[in-house]
Amino acid sequence: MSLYNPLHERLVRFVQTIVWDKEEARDIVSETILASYENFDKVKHHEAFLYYLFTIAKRKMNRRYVQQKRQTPWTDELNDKAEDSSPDALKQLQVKELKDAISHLPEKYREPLVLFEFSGLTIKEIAKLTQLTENGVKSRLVRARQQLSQILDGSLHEKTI
Amino acid sequence: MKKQFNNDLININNLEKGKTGNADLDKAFAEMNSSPLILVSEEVGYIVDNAMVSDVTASVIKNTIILGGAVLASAIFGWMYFQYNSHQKAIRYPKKAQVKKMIPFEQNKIKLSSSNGNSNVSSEENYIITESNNKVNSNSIITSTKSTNQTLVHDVNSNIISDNSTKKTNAAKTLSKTEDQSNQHLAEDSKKSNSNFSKTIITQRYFDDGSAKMTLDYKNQPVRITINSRGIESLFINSEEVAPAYYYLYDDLASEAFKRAKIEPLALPTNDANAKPNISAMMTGALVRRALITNGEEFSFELTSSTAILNNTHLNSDIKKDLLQVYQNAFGSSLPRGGKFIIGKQK
Repeated sequence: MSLYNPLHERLVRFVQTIVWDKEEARDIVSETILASYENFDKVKHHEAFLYYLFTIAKRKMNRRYVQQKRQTPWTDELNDKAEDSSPDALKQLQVKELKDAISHLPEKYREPLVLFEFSGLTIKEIAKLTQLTENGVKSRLVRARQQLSQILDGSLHEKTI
Repeated sequence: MKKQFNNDLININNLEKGKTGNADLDKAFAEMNSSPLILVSEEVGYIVDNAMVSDVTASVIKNTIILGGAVLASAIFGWMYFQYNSHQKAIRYPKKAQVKKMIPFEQNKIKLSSSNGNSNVSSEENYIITESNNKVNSNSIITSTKSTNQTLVHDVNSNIISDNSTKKTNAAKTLSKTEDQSNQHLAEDSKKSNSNFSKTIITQRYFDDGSAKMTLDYKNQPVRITINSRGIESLFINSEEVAPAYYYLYDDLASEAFKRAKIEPLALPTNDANAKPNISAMMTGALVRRALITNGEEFSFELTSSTAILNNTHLNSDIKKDLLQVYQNAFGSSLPRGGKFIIGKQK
């Protein structure tokens, strides 16, 4: 647990940003923790635990995402499930729109963005986790931000009209 | 915003968290980062503790199952070993009840099965005797023809009194009789049986020279005896060979063996079969047993391969064959063609 505790918030933010459903996100985090706990002996270096943990979470999310894609597409109903306890409804709306916009990003841009902006991983860490070069990660981050802005602008534009 | 964003593209090496150059986006990121977590670290501790408990429980259950399985397996193997051991003992020292179930023995034997304490002689392989049930004369002699062209002569109790086979081989010879006949004979035998014997014959085999080898249970000791018409060829009690000089001590055993093998003893049952035979005495005894003469009566007898003359009377061919077989059993080889065996002098 001493290894895990510093990474807890990073992991949860990573999962809860990508996964819409709160319960689903909780399940994935729990499963990730248990899986890492069961195979903790495989981690040779403490520094590697971060990558180990996030790799498990990525796989779990991908598996769930594929399953859900086969079963039910993302709908407004699912979107409505994404609760946020922000006191302000406007803030809640912003968060919801941001999540929606992130979900529309291509996978290759979404993951580095979430890891960087919400999980607080460094470029170097993301590069190691995603097996990209640091410049590749940076490039993807910039493009992710760009596309996200366009998506959000579009949605704002639609709402204004 | 696009302008600011383009600046970011230029400053790709100075990427900072939450500073995209787009104020709305930065604000949204900040809101997102300030939103509460769906899972707090205390809950994680709870999840891990539960996992540890269930891990321990699973481990205990697993160990219990393994231990239980090992105990069960050893119990089963122990029981199987016990059964196997008991079975082996039963073969060595068979009890009555167990012998009933014993069917497979070595190659040359008579298989025995028992339904009500009596034994039934059953056929084995291709050696089958078909009984013709031909009565020869008033003395109730029955001739049986084997499929191998051998002729056996039985008396009413199915005692084999002669066999024309001459070659001794180790081949198995088994007798087959109808169930009724076998039951009848063996029931009679068992009534006559000495109480020293178990009622069930263990193994019994016949050889071409008319000898029989059998295993008996005598006074709770395993006995192996080989007999022929002239007496005992060999006797083993408890795996120890008995010298011929002591055969006389086992008269009841020898008599029982002859009775069970249904072989006519031409001399005393305890006679040493390997000793030089008194053929005249044997033939006299055979004639008496066939009621052709009375005991102590003076008579004349002449036997050739083609004729049998008793007190100047020609005996029929069946009796002649029977007596030729007696001679062969007594002498150890058949009467040669042109040879003559004489007792007394024909008037």
